[in-house]
Amino acid sequence: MIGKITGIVMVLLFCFATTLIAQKSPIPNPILTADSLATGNYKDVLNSFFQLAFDRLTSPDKTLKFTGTPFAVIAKLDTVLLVDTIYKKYRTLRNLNYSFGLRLDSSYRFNGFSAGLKYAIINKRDETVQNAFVKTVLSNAAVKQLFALNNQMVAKIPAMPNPWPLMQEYSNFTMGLISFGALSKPLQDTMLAFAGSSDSTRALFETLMQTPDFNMKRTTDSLYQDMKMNFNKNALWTVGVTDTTLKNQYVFANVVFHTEFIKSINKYSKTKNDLELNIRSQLQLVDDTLKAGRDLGRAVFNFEPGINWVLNTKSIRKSYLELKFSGGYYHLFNRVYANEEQNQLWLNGTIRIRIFNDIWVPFEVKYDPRNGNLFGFINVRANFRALAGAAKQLYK
Amino acid sequence: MAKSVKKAIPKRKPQAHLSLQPGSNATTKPTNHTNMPKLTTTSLVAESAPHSLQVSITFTFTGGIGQATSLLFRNGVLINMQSISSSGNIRFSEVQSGDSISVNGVCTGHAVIVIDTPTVPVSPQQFAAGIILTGYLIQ
Repeated sequence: MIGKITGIVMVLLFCFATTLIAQKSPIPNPILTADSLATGNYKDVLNSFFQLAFDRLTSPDKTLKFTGTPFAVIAKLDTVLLVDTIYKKYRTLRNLNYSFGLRLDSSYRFNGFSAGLKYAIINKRDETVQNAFVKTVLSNAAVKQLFALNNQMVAKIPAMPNPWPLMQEYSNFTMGLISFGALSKPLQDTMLAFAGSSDSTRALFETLMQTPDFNMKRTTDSLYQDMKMNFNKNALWTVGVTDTTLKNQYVFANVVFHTEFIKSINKYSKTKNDLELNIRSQLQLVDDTLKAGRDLGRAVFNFEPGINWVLNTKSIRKSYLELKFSGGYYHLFNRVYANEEQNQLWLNGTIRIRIFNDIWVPFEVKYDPRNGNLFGFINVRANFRALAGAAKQLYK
Repeated sequence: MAKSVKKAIPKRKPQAHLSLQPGSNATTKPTNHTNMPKLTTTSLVAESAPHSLQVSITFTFTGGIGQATSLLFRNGVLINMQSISSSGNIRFSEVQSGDSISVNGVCTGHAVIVIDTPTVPVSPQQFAAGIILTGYLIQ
């Protein structure tokens, strides 16, 4: 009991510490990053920096798992790797995840160790290196209008009386420090005259006329995030292998080969919430205890297709709750032990709740419809995103 | 028709147009800010002057890729335009005080723009992942 309370207190302290550290950041971070916008399910499939997971907190077999990418570690040590010309060359390393896990018993004592590797064969979600994404942004009609407006303003301001303060004021506007309504009249008039001069910029003209608190930075961020969110709905396919060694067992006693595929199925729809197809499959090789000696002669196949329903907030479309429904099929290739079945069907449900920006609490439920068994697990996942911070450090 | 063009060319005074400086006496004429300036072949040429300088704009994209286009304006007329699709420099020659530079682009990670001459606003300017939209007035 004391152990459980200690565990929960540790998790809560960790959560608050993460928040406090984030609040101490000297650079305001109004921009949502890919990690903070990504669904919890996506970050579970492939992590882009570090993830610390406390799995099965209420189960006798708890797991403390650390997942990371080698590139994140290397880039943290040598930030020059983040410069685009070098960054692009490390795509393979960024698509690789490694993990280490400690298994703990009900008294939080060491009960085993796990290690694994995962590689993304198809990763169309990494917009940071996709030229296609850059082209999508640059060819967006609204973005083109804003570029044209910017060119027009920068061309006109030098010819206005007192151009220096006007240029500083315009810069404050583009950086989002002041809204359209707070601009001086010559700047407002010039913008309106340009926006009203063509049918192609009519929407911009009407927005400026009707919205005095129009904020350029918020507008461009919103456009960018919308396009990024659509891009993050592309396909991701990973393959990997994990080994778990329980206490008093030999190494490679429980080897799992796994693969997972996720892809959004409503990419271009205007709906607020998303639907994500999630298919996972694994082949588990374990020791056949009925045979003498050590072997990996017992094979269990598992296939789990599911749908993840992502509920996003209205304005910034950031997921705050995810509901995943899946079916599970298990097949034993070898002899069946007593009280075991050759084939099993399960119904699974996972509720993921975001409690902080990068901390998710997934609650898993498994139901065996044939025998009426119900199991539940509660986990905590903390995703760390420090690449952006490292990039900022380059220029401090 | 061809003759009329030939006759029109010597009558032009491109230097007068390009030498206009903000705040100078030449700007006493009332100007209509809402009309686009006329773009001619001569106005696209940056005229050399004793106070002209070469300006270098350095783009550094980190944690992702980026693209940017810089446009150099003099008296509202576009006189040079260059694009960049990875970290590096854009160089504008014959830049004068009062010229303005607009920068449009996108970065998927983090971007820093540094201009090697005094400008308003001051550089370097940093941009988080998103659309880059800014402008500078050469001091």
